[in-house]
Amino acid sequence: MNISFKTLLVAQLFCSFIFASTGYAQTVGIVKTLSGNVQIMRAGATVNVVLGDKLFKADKLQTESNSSVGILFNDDTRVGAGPNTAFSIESYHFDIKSQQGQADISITNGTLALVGGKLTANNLDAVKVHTPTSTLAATCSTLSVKVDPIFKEVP
Amino acid sequence: MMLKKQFQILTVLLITQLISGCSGYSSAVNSLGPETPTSEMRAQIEAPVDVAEGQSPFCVKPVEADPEMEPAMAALPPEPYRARLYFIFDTSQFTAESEVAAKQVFDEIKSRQIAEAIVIGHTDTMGSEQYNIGLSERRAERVRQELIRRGIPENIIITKGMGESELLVDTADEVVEEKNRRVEIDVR
Repeated sequence: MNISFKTLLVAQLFCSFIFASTGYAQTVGIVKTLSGNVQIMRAGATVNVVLGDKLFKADKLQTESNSSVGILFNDDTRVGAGPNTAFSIESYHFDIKSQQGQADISITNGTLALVGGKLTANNLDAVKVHTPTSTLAATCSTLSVKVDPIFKEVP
Repeated sequence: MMLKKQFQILTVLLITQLISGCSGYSSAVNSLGPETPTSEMRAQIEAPVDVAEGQSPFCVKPVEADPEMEPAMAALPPEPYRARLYFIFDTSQFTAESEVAAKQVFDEIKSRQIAEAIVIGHTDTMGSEQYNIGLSERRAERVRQELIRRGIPENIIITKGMGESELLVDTADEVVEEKNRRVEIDVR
């Protein structure tokens, strides 16, 4: 009885700790350019993107045909996504004081252009773009990626 | 007899010369050319690689733009624009140059689909800390009013007064420094 209560308490504390650390959502970037229809998938819900929308870690974005979206991240990293593009912000951390951090963006389809900000200025490996087949570091301060659907099916 | 001896000495001399010559030659890599042979490209090869602005020397320059990439490139938001506006001592009046710079800030905001303007006021160290916080707030407010007057919507402007806490030019207290009397504007 006593032990099970203790275990429960520990489990509860652990849970609350986990939720406290992940539940605190921080804006990582803002939608600055938009044309056509772009959806955002967040916590199981899909909503249409509007200009000025705040973006958070783990957000997934999908542009329709003839659509595009541009994001300005907190560190001034800029990302542009072309039509039929699916990408997500896997991770993002930028410490204003030290001007350091890291970002991971993954693209599963479409086209993505990236211009590095303070993160890449301070660490060439800080910003990475993951495609289904490879990981690219934005060492050249500008980067563009194209993922064709046909390449995804190649084993 | 005498001739034979002379010949002998000459032969010995010749042999020693030959040997020393040979050994001398083998230890020096290049006895005829310059003291230390150097390649013309040495300076170029040994020069430190310039990786300014985060550019790796291995960056590939795109030969031609891929037309499929164009929409993504076009969707890139414009680079944030930063400006500093300077003020006349103990006032919230712009210096003449800053009047012109204010117009540029306005144009930058107008050129964006959606903009935010973060306006932060600062002072020099002349006067009390408390007074300077008020003065820096008045300066930020002056910029806000100027932008609103030119047609920028109020809700995209954020103002803040830092007083003398973030000096641009580090000075002792109670020092008049025109470079510190400024408002920094970040247009994003």
